[in-house]
Amino acid sequence: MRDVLVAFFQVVSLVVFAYFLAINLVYLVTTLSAFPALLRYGRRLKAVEIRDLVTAVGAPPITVIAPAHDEEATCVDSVRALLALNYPEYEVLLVNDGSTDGTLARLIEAFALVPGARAAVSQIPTAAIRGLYRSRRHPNFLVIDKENGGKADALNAGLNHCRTPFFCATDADTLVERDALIRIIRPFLEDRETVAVGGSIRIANGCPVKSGVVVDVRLPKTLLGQFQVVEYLRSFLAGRLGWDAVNATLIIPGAFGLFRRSVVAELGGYRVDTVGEDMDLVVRLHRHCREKGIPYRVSFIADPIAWTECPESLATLMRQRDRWQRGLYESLTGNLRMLGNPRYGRIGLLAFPYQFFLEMLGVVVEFLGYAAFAIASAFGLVGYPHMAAFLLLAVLWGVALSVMAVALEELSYRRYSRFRDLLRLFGLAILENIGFRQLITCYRMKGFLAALFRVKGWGRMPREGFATARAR
Amino acid sequence: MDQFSFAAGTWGALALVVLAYAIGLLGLAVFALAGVVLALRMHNERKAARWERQEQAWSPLVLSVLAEDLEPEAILASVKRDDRLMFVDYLLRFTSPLRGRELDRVRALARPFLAPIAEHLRKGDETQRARAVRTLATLGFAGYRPEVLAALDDPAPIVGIAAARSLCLSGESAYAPAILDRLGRFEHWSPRFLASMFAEMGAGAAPALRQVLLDPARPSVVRAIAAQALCDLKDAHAAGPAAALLLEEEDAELRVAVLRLLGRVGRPEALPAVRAALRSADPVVRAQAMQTLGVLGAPEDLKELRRGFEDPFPWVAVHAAEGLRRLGCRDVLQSMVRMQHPRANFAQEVLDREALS
Repeated sequence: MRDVLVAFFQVVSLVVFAYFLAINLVYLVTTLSAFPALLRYGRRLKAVEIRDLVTAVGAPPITVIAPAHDEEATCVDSVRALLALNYPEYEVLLVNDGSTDGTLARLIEAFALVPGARAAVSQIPTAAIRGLYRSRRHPNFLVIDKENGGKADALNAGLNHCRTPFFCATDADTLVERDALIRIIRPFLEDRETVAVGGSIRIANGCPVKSGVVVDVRLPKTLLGQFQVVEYLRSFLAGRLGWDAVNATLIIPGAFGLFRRSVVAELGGYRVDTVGEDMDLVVRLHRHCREKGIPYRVSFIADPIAWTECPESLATLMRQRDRWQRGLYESLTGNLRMLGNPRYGRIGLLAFPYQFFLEMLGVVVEFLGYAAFAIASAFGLVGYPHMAAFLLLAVLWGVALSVMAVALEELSYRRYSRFRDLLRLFGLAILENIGFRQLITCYRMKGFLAALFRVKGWGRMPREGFATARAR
Repeated sequence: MDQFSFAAGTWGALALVVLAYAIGLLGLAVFALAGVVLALRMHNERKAARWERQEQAWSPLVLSVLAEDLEPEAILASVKRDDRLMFVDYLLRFTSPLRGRELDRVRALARPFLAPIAEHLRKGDETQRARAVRTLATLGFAGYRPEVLAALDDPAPIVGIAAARSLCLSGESAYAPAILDRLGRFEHWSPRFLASMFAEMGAGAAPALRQVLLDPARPSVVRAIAAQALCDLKDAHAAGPAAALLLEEEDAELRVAVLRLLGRVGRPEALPAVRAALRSADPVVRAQAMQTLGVLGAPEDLKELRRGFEDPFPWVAVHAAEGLRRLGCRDVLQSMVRMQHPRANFAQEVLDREALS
């Protein structure tokens, strides 16, 4: 029996070790690719002045679509931020997705909304539209009030009523920076084949907000929030920038992305039967363009920034990560034909297999690794010096990647301007590998199992509101 | 066998040694990287403080020059040799709201320091060259015309586009043909953006743009950009030839651009060509034709506008509704709403918007 156990743990340890090597090699490559990409991009920004684009009549009109469900705490601030964007011609279309709180009432009061009409120019099926409101004060602000159908359904309703060649998908609880649209439109101006561009998401918890604008960048007060700051830096600056450097962007955040309307409408909009509608859309965009032979480009750039509230309680964090993992599973399994298929280029051969094996299935391996280690320890099967050394190496590797992400931030945007915040980020880079990462693995594993057993639903994500951040 | 085999014997010892080395090296690397980042932060903060000090010192002097209390030469001595590029950068940021005499005085301040920037055109990488083109064109165009013009043919498209944009912003329409001849180099850029560059050049660019629009030897995409630029420039002289072109051309992108141009500057004589475009198989051409008809149309087009409501492509109905409003046919729109026409929403939208405005 003992021999069988030992043999089993040997196999598990080899699989875990192979996974560890593979995923960390990918992280290393994407992080190292991000450094030159970020420096090149910074120099390019200096070469073609961004203010030239603001005044140019060539900046195409954009519709910002912001779905809102029970967002009464943040929706007014968010809309104010959206209406104060620095862009020549744009419209804000907020879709009230069957809120049960006072979201619509707050919007009607704050923006002097009156009933109006707007005909749909696409016919993507959605839940029933209850009404449409226009603002007396802001001619470029509209609200669609509809029955609850989920975020994807709300985005589709917005897309049906969008009248501009580009639309920006965001959330009603997201604060988009003033010059973010000017920055995110650049790739579309520089390359007419661009169909989608993603921007960066930063964490607003702890930052004072005034009239919908983050006026000072600070770290969240809670350790849980602070860990997520490091995590987001790693994900956006090191991960997505690295993947973009090899032209294999597969994820555009649902909270901030710009899309060519006609292509998304042609695709039938967002899939409503998944909680990962943002990733699913990008995967299907790749698939559609490759299958139809349409020249296209999907990019990620780090300088357009949107701020969002991150979960600061374990329960909410669990629901969020559970949902993200289910979204990943649904997006990938719904497009399995792309896996390893040369027809889909770098996406089929690189990005998709990475997401499938290392991000989706990898969580099972990582979870098994922790479980196997615990059981092996209980049976006295572990060679402690080796295991301790391996764990220490894994933690150090994680620290190294996080420190590199902080370095990328320092090389580029330096949003955390206080010296003590920088030191704290280093401390967090160490601490998050001990406990937080394992916790996230458990939450992701829960999400994976939920996806496997077809559990649906978003899970509630209570918002404190940006005003709370101001009060702090 | 009590433990995993890899953890036992010589191999186990060797693995442990390798792991220990890896940990040591990685630990050192992490500390070194963190140290570099901290050093970088201190360096950046020092640099930012130095910038701020310099700007505080230069601001009153530059403002005095602008107010003509000081001659430009009077402050040149205060710019140290090592700070010259920084000074030029500072002046570049200063120029955007300036025009006329004030801009000339800032240019006089920059003139002595531009030679090293011109060097970047020869020795720098593509982004440095592009930035150099922009700086020279903004602060020293009079002295560096040949360099900026030559940059149109720079092997890097980003340098070429920086040169094209700078030449357009100079407002000197004599450069329009040279830029139009090279538009093919910028084929990846958005046509709308390229057209807007010519619009910034001013009405003087119109003859060259008209010539390109009417030249069948040019690629359709370049002709479409010319049509869009003429539209932005509201060039009335283009209306007649554009209407004739609309009847001859088949390329959808070009036809849409020409229709847009006619919508801006067209006269009733263009209506037969516009009406013919309403029968196009391409829905985008039909939609643009309907929009143009809405602007130019006469009361006899009421039937066409009403037919637009039945077009399977909804954008045609959007423009038909707007066209009906422009023709003053509010009653037609209201009756569509009353009769609950399948596209009554399009009519209601136009009526609502009118009521709000």
